[in-house]
Amino acid sequence: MKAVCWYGTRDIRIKNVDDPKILSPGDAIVKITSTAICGSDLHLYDGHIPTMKAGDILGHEFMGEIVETGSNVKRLKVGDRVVVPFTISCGSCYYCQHQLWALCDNTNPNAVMNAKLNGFSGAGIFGYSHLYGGYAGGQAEYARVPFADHGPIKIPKDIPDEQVLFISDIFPTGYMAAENCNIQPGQTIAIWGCGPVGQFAIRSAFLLGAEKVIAIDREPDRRKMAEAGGAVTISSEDDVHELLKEMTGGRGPDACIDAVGMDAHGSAYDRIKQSVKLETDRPYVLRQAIRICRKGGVLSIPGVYAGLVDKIPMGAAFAKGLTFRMGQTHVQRYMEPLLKLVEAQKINPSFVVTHRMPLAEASKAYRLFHRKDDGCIKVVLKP
Amino acid sequence: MTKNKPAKSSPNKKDTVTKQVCTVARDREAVYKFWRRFENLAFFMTDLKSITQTSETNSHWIYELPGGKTIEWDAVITEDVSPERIRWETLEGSDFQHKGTVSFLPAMGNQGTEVAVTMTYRMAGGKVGAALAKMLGNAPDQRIQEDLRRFKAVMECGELPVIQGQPMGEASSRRKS
Repeated sequence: MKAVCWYGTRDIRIKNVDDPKILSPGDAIVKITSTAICGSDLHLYDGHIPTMKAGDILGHEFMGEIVETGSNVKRLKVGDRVVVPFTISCGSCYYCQHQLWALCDNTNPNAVMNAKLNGFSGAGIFGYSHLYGGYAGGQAEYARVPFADHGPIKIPKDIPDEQVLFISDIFPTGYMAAENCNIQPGQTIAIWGCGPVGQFAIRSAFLLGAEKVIAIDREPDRRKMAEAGGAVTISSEDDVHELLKEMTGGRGPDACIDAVGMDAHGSAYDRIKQSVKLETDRPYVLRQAIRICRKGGVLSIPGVYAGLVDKIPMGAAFAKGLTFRMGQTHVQRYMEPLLKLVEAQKINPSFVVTHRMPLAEASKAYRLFHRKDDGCIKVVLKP
Repeated sequence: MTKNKPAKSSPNKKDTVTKQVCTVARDREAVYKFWRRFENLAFFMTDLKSITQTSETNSHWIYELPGGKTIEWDAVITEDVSPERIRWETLEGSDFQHKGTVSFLPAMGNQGTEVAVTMTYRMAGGKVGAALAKMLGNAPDQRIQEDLRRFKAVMECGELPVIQGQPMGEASSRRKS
């Protein structure tokens, strides 16, 4: 089959590889009909995530049809149309039993390695480095889905791929980010980053009752899409702090969402430190959000951080009694309710798609998305 | 909760003690029962080639070293308190001399069972000792930690997370311009 393989920093190649096989009784094989490139794939593309190996198959946002199941798979059968969550979860451990699917104890074969870095390991993730299990991803014609009874959600035949594909990651990720804000009527939510996760966070914040959403990004195309979702926007090149203060009657936003993560633009200090490995992540947004968040407010972080940051204004966070919520998305917790929202036409997630390309052009697609050329916000690849 | 130091109880300076703990989300009767059938251990112990129960208390173990060589030992259960703990030690003439205890305690808040493995072992001399040291590396703790993690996965989900055998692009691939 054809698959999108990682070979190094900004080196993505389409390779012919073996078809995946059932390796464990809980596995299923999915023939992929649609797959997307995630903003977090750009962290791999930029070489910021350690433990990638040459030839690793990328991709963690995919859907398709079940073509084979292992002997223990009970819930799914051949022919089922499914969306696959990016988190691989066992369904049996303490964390899965408590709806904390991204923190699953059992699905990362390299948990001991991960725990050395993080204290304890979370779930395995498709196509996201060996630190997260080294699982082959879904930017391919087929994918093996382990622990298949505890992941994929069945999708009715009559909804187009593009309306349900993003239930695999960015829709629940934006939704959980908004949910983490504990939004109350009359509140204002500020969202840094109008990439795909930011776009879903904007719409989710409104679905959850926010009165005003202020979205921040330096790209005019992305701000335009945010405005179409009901947000008022600020360019990150303007004085974000002063503008947010002004737009919130001097109080600051009730909650701030950092949908940018470790590769924020804006600070030469962090870019230099990152390039000489004195710091792994660039926390520019995080600092700005901590400073402007209102007293007693919430900082919600769906943007990926992978390692060390510095100059975090902990004193400001402490002085204002902020609450921090963060982490990988517990996708399985949100799949069912979000599919219902799509079916009820409360949201049509396909709004985010700006580019549709064949899988064979993935290398070009990564470049386009990375450079934000041609107004690129979200690419869907067709095998 | 990791120790790696000479055993206090032993006068022999070459003895090493290691302790590893994990919590398994199953009741301790089930956890004890699974462990007590030593044949089951082959499901999760890395590089273990076979375990044969030779009597109610004795078992024969064959372990595969890197490069395909094997080492063998005979173990005898010296204490067996269902469902609390099992103690064992190896018999004279074993390639890998050690003694161990596995204990099963109910975890607080109905979280299942806390499984603690303590092993005291001594490196043999000569080629076998050298090969063994290579297998265990400088971190025997990590080996046991790894095996315990796999034990937990087998107990909780009935299968292990695996990636061996999945497709990937060939590593030697040349960049196309």
